Amino acid sequence: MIPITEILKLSIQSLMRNKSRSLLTMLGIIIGVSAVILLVSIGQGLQTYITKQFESLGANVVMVMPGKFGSGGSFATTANSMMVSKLSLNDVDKISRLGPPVGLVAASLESTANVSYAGKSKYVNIGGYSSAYLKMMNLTAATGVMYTDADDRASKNVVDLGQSLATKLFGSMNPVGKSVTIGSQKFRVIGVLNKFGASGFGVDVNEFAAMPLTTAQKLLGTKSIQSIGVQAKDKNSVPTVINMVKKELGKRLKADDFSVIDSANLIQTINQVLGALTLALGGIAAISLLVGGVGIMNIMLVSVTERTREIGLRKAVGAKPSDILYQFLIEAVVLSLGGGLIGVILGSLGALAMSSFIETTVTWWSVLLSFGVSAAVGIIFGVAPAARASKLNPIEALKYE
Amino acid sequence: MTSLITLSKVVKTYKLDGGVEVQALRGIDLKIKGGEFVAIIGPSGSGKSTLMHIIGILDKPTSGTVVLEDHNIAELSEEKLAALRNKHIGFVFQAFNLLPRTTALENVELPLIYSGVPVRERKKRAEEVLNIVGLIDRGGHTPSQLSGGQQQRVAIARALITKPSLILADEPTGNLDSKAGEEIINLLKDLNKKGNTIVMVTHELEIAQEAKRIIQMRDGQIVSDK
Repeated sequence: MIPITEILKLSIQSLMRNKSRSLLTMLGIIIGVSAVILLVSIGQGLQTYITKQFESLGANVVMVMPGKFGSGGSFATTANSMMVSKLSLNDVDKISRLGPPVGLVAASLESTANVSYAGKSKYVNIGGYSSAYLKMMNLTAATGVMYTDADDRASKNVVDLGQSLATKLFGSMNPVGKSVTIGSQKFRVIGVLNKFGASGFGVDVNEFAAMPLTTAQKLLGTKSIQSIGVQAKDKNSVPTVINMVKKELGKRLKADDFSVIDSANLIQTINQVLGALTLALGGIAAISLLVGGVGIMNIMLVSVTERTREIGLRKAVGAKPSDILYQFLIEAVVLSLGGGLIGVILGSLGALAMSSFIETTVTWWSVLLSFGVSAAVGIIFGVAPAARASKLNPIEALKYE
Repeated sequence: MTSLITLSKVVKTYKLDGGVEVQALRGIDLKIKGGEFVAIIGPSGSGKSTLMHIIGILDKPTSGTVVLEDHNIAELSEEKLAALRNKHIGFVFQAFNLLPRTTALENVELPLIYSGVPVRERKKRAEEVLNIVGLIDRGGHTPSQLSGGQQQRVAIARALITKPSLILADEPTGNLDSKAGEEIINLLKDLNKKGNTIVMVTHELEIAQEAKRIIQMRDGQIVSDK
């Protein structure tokens, strides 16, 4: 057999003789690989983003959510059970009375509503938070003040605006002391919150309004709350706190009515779901790689037929069947790996371009996988045409018109 | 001088699609010595092409033996035959069979790629043989930029480059006008004078008469050899 470098040179020369066709053949692989890289990078970015968001919550915070949540449950049932939350402020009181290692106990109730001022209006998230929640999440006022426990007990119609919402409604004007309409009720703006959290995925977390929990209950016409945050003394006491909370709530509620999760648990669950999503996206993209492979096989078969005389000649002047086999096989692999390389570059550039809108992370395994799969595609789909070429009878091949 | 290639009692039978057997060669005994210029002539269907394929070891006989420079062809694998063709046989075809969109120089180099000669030496030897056929200034041209006669001369250069024991020309003037054809025959005669062994297959008596030895074929047999 002649050296592999010679065969590689022959293969590349042949491909260069048909530049546009080679490029079009690669297109299938290019699209497949860049789709894999891009979609996986978006999935991974989403995972990183959400993990970061929850980590900011603190490792020693335990969340009580309505309904069943965790490995057995799904987001869908969780979303449903939020509507029929059986958690109440009474539960918050009971948990806070448990004492150490239970620290701060915070309650929240979230919904969406229209907030309007002087003809301008915005449909945003409304958060009813107990003052303990403000402390736990470190929500502070940039201008004006935050509402107090007294405001909460009196269910006062006061509101602190998220920074983005304040800018959208008031521009450069100071909103403190102004009156806004939320839903159908009048609220007095008493402060504007400091900017917090990372923005991403088209959601501006600073576009929201915070108000006392009881005020939100009144506004939404409900007695229940959506979640309870319980701060443990330290990271090590988290399991104890989870057990204490479970026991306390179990006195009144069924086990299916609530879930107690710590942030590590939550991140794990979310990552499971997102991991599956990423795999599914990657899988769909991988199918296009397969289609690209079929494209390569098709063109290689055409090429073998078209170059029958060339194959006959090469054999006549001394090419062994194995020389011909490797030449055509390597042509297919060069096509698929070339496509893979261009695909990785385009996919990474795409991910880079999208990173200004959403978080993307190009992972080494998706790059490696795409390369591996495209090489495999080239070999698998290149073997049949190459074998056909190597088996051609030189006499017949030379006579071929 | 010892024989370059020896055929004894060579029979070649083809099976057609319908199952009918056709005997293309019916017992050929033939010896070709180094330095000869042999023309094989005969009407179509006489078996001259089959004989050429056997001499060029592109094909093995159904029965009988073919010995090329001490190698018994029947015993060799396809890989070995390819190496043997590469070393001993230079082919010149009616349709030139140059690779399209490939320069004359690269076309001429082709057999040396398969004998594992390094790039630099390939180039040097390709230039040498292009010089012999008088096309040294056309090395960078592709076949479509060359006339038919020039293309056939490139093909002859390609046949010469491995310094083969035997140059096998299959109707070398068949696709050329008479003037270009004459030039090709003169070139072959010239090469023969320099010591190359040439076997040429043709159906034109006029061209065959340029050779030193004429073998006439009919119905798969040699009817005259002089």
